[in-house]
Order: sequence, then structure tokens, then C-alpha cells
Amino acid sequence: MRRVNLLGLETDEDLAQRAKEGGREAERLLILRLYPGVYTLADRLLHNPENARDAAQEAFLRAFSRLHQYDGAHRFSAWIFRILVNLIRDEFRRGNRVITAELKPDDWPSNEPIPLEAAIREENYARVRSHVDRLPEQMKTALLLHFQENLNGREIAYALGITYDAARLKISRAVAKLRQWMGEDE
Amino acid sequence: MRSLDDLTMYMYGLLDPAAEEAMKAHVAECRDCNRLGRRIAAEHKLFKGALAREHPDLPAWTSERAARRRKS
Repeated sequence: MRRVNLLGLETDEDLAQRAKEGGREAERLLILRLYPGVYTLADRLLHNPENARDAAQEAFLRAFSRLHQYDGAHRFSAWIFRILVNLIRDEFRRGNRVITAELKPDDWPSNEPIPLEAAIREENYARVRSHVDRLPEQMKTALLLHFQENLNGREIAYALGITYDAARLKISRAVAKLRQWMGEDE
Repeated sequence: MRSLDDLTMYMYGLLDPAAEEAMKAHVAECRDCNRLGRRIAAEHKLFKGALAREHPDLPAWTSERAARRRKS
């Protein structure tokens, strides 16, 4: 029987099963659901939108060409993040792909006034993001998988290819570092 | 009072079920841990807001791929 969630939608895992059986619509739905998260993580690790788009595309291509390897032991999203993390580590970080810093007009501060509360919130968010960028790669990825993607400890461990305890330790140390750096800002 | 690290792992939902139950019972009784837990929750909300997903446009390859497969 096909599982459905509370909204009556198929789960990602059900869609993956259908895609495995050749379901093209299932493949398309998986991209629609997961692309924003996959792209966001790639962009935050690579700091380059063009390379992030390439990495996200390749992660999906690899996932769909290796669907027979997906055994359903973890959520499908954890599996595709694992593919993305390995891809970035093996290809985008080893100099096999060109990574260029990109500065667009959008990066410059706007002259448009924004409400004070929103401005303060954005400033705090920017501080958090800049400190997250200072973290070692695996700590940063673990933290992003928790906050951005709501992956649980075991899923984060699976995506990073490390033990559950190691994943928790990385998050714990990452949060301690963020607290220290945020405190130094005050 | 429990350590900041233990409370953080509890508030982040990263404890094993047994440890989580024990911590839940403790926090319900301990005023200091309860107060600290609230601060951690506020901090978690800040981090979560800062690190929320972006909303990129879907790239052309998603529809190109679908179109190509439909033709084949």
C-alpha cells in the first residue's frame, strides 16, 4: 500500500520507489520538492551560485542514475544530501571544477529603506550566517543539515558518512563556537 | 542543573529517546534548566531563521530533462 502523509501527498520515499520503477512524474516531483534545499546547501558550501546550480544538477543526475542503490533505510532527502556532500568534497573542492567568486549588483546594499525590526532581524541573520561560514566544513554542513533541512542526528550522520555520536559532537561544537563568536560581537 | 551542552542537545532534539525522556522530566522540575531551555529555544529560532532555505528558481534543465524524456 502506498504511504501518504497527513496532507494526502506521497512521501519522498514513495516517489523514489515510483521513480525507480520508471515513473517520470515521480522524478519531476522529487526535483520540485528537493531542489531548493539541495541548491541552498550547495550555495552555502560553495559560495558561488553558478557552481551551486551545477552541483545541484549533478547531484540529481547521480541520484536518478543510481536509484537502484537507494535502499530506503534513510529518508530520500538524506540520501541526496549525502550524494551532494560527497560530490562537493570530491569534485568541487579538489580543483576539478572552477570555483570563481561572483559579485553581482544585487550584492551591494540597497538604498531602499526597510522597517527597523526587519533590518535588525536581517542584521542578526547576517551575523549568524557570517559566523557559520567561519566553521570547519563538516561542522558547517552538519549545522546546515539540522537548521536548514531539519534532518535528525542519524540522518546527518548518514549524509556526512560519520557516526551518530560524531554528528552530535559536531553540532554541539558548532553551536558552542557560534555562541562564542556571537558573544564577542556584543 | 544539567550542562549547557546536554540542554542544547535536548532542545535541538538530538538526544536518544531514553535520555530525552529523562531530560524532559528534569526540565519540568528544574527552574534554572527551564529558564536556560527557553534561551536556547530563542537562540535556535534565530539560527533557524538565519539558515532557512533559499527559494531559487527552478533551473531550465528540470523541464528540459522532462521534455527530452517525454520525446524518447
